[in-house]
Amino acid sequence: MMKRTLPAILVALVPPFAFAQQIPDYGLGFVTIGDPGNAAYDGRFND
Amino acid sequence: MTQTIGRGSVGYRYRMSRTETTTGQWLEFYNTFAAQSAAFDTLLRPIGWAARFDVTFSGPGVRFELSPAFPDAGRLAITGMSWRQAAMYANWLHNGKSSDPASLETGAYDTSTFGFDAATSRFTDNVTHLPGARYWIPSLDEWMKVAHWDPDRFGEGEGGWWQFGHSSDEPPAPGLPGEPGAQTSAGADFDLLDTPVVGAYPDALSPWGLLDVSGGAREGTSTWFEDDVGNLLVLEGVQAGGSFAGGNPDDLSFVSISGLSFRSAGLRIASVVPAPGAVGMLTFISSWIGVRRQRRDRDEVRRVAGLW
Repeated sequence: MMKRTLPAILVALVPPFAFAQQIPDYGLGFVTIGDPGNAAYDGRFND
Repeated sequence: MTQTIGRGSVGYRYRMSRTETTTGQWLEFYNTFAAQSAAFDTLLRPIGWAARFDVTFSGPGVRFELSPAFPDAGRLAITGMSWRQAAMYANWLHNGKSSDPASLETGAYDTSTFGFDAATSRFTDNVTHLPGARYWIPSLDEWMKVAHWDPDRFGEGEGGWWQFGHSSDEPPAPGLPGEPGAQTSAGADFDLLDTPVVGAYPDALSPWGLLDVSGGAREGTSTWFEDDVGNLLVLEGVQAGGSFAGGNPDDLSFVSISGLSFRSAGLRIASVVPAPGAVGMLTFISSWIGVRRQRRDRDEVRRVAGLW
């Protein structure tokens, strides 16, 4: 029983940060920008 | 200037610092190397920052300290750095803030390419950040998007552009922090020693949450244009307000351009979005396979035993 459940328990207990790529913030307070492929600026404010 | 027309589309996710690089952040960078040798003083000291010589430091190099004349000098935006200084700062971040001078040379940008070809009158700097760079100087496209593109500009999922960097088509109201309605230091009337610190206008946000898009420092980008005589010029980014002396608000329709050493500009750092780590992912996959295998073995035992 223990052998069967141990791997599942390990998977459940692995904290999310264990998967995170280590990119220190260095106090810069990064925001993430999504919406890839947004439209380019069409010049509407240049008239 | 019309350099922003047709620009601003970015096909990948990335990160950007909420505020501009501060004197305190640059001071740590500068002192790491200048305290080793005075040669780094010339290489890394910017023109505009709220720091002064530390007269108590006896060498071998030189050291600076926050200027006591400013009430919160460490949080004032730095101005007046060169493109190459900004590139070395990105290299330093990429290399984990190492004190080894070699950490200035590569990682985000290859400084061995920095130079000038007199025969062609062109700079030889490779301004494209290296593959695998973790921090870099934003391109004009990256800068425009984070400052002006709103994925819900015209309603949910209906993206569009704002003219100004606080999610509005009306210019931000100048004023000192705390004054009624004040949204930016750009164009505000204040003494040098009263220069607002970064993040002093928390309600004036870009669509992605950036502070001080107007005001603070003009921000350098890694996008270059060629002038009429073929010299490469560094674009300073969309006019991101004035520096310590105030100035115009950021405006999507206007950018300014200066030469290689754009020493009137500040910096906002871009970064890669953290991805799942390889070790963690392998652990997860192997554990998942282990669970699957044990279930399969268990089912096989039950089948043979006639339990199913």
